[in-house]
Amino acid sequence: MSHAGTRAERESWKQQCEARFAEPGFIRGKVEPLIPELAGNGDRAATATFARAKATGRMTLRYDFEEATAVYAKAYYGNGLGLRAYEWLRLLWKDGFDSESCFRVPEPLGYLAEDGMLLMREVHGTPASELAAEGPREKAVEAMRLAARWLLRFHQSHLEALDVEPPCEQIEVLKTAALLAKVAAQFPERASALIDMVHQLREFAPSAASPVGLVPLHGQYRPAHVLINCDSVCVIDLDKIRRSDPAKDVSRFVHVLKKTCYEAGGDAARADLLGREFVDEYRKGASANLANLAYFDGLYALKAFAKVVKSGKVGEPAREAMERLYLDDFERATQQPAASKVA
Amino acid sequence: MEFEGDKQLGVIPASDRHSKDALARKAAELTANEFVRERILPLLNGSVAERPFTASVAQNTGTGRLALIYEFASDCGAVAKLYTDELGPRSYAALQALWNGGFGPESRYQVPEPLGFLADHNLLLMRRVPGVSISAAIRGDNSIDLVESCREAARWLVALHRSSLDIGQRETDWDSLKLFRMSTRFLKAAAAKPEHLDTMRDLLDAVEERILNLHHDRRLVQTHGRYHSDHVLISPQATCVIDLDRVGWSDPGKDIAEFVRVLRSTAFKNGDDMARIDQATAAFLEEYLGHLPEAAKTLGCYWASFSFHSYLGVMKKTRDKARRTWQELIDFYSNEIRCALQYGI
Repeated sequence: MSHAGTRAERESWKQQCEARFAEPGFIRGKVEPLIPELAGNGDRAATATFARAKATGRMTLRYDFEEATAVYAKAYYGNGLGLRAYEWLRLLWKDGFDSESCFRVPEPLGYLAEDGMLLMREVHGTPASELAAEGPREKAVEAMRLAARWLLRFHQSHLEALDVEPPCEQIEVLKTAALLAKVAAQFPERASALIDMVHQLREFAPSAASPVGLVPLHGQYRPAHVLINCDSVCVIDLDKIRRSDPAKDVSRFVHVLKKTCYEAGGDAARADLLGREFVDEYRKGASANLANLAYFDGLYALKAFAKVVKSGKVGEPAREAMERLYLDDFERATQQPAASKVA
Repeated sequence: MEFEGDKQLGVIPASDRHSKDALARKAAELTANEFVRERILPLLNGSVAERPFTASVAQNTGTGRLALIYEFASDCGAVAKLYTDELGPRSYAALQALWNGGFGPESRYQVPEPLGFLADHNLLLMRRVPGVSISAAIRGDNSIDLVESCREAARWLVALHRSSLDIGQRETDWDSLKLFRMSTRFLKAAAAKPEHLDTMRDLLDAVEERILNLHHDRRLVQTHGRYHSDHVLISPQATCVIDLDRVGWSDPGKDIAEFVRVLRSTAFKNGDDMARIDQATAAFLEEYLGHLPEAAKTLGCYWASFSFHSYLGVMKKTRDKARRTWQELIDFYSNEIRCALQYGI
């Protein structure tokens, strides 16, 4: 998804927001009235902390109030993204992803149209990424299963009015081509290996006869966005949801799980096991949704491989080791019988 | 009819499918007197059974296809296509469906008459079609008028796109736009000419914007799949289109764009008068869009994509080609992309 406006426009928007959103008057006049337990309850000390503010046209900040709950705010630059994100969050909350359920989304508190700002109640829990990286294996496995069950429930939710992700964007072929071309321009000697990989991947591309129905796609489903609290799961960052192929969310989750582990020099065998647990749990609930999983597994491994080749940041031995890990992932994905061949 | 591959007697083994020598040996078998008398003549309804004949190879270019011509005195004769993959029986079924579904002898817009399919050789036999190809007109054959022939080609295509036939497979957008092939070409071009990467990416961005605007549930039609000037034969009695191996359900813009791209690209590479080709292009588009104006919505996307594909094909090479320099070809395709993007959404 491309960013709205030019980089300079977004930078200027960011600077204005940073000044405005931290003003006590803004917090008292605009934020507090949307928090039921604070509304009309007198002055309280409040602080604003910017959690994320890059020039991407989105920023995340946290408001802390004395003796009260914390609130997260997400502000969006232009094109109605914030309002859409608020509406989807509200629908999901109403559709059963609320505080009564084991499977949750953050409680939407309101949307400030003039400021393009969505407000949500703070969520408590340990990110699945932390549980995956360290601690008892059983706890990590249980976290993966919960994450898979949340995703199953989400993929079954009724958000018919969602936009459909354009078919060619679904399979990310052009975005990937642009990345691979950059690598080929920088390292022409690697081009032929990359071309072979594209040929192999093509065998697994979804066919028109693919039985997979489109579902609400989270779009950024990764372990860090899945917060586990005992046996309940709350998932954040729902502003890119569209209808698309469900295998994308499944594949991306496992890919990010492994990538985080590879980059941190963690236990690759543990990450592999946890990835399998996640997929197996999902498969139990909706195996037909995974018809195109091999394609997306191969795609994300290829992209990660290309990024490692391109990156000058990593030292040579470490880079070679990472390349090997992604190549293994790619080979594993593309060694399965291709759906097109089976059909 | 199922293709059983190498198990069948007489079918080329997988390892030899792209070998010109293996196909030439097979051609010798298929043009032998005994084979023609025993297997080909019975499919011609006996009308030429007692006449002398000649059999020759029309095409063996190492692509895994072999085309043969059987000529008989006082008769158009027959054309045979040898397949080395599963397309043979599929093409025969498609040809039968078209011939019986409005593209037969009663119509001005026709396909070749299917005469039979020899499953044991994976060989499709069709009646030979009279007429002059539009490519011949581009090359200077004055027996048909290029501009009027392009109008006629548009009318044939309108008839196909309007038909209620349902032949072949449904194509995904990435297949009809050849996006995986485009990706590998892009890689080759970037590796060969890294200094042009930014220009290539700018063009890709413009094309991609159109591709991402394609609606997921837009109307698809019965398409030809390889619709270009070589395959359209014009005669006073009929306009007949050959090479129906790739018929399927797809976006109408695919056939229109393919025709326009090949017409213009062939002429430009030959160093032809482009004013005449502009006229022919305009006539083709005017005729087609006059009947089916809604196809203009996606035409620009397909035309730009196919032109970008050709652009990358030139970019990855270093040499001039025939009558045009490398730079002339690059400028030509860049301009074609810009021109194509003026159409549609």
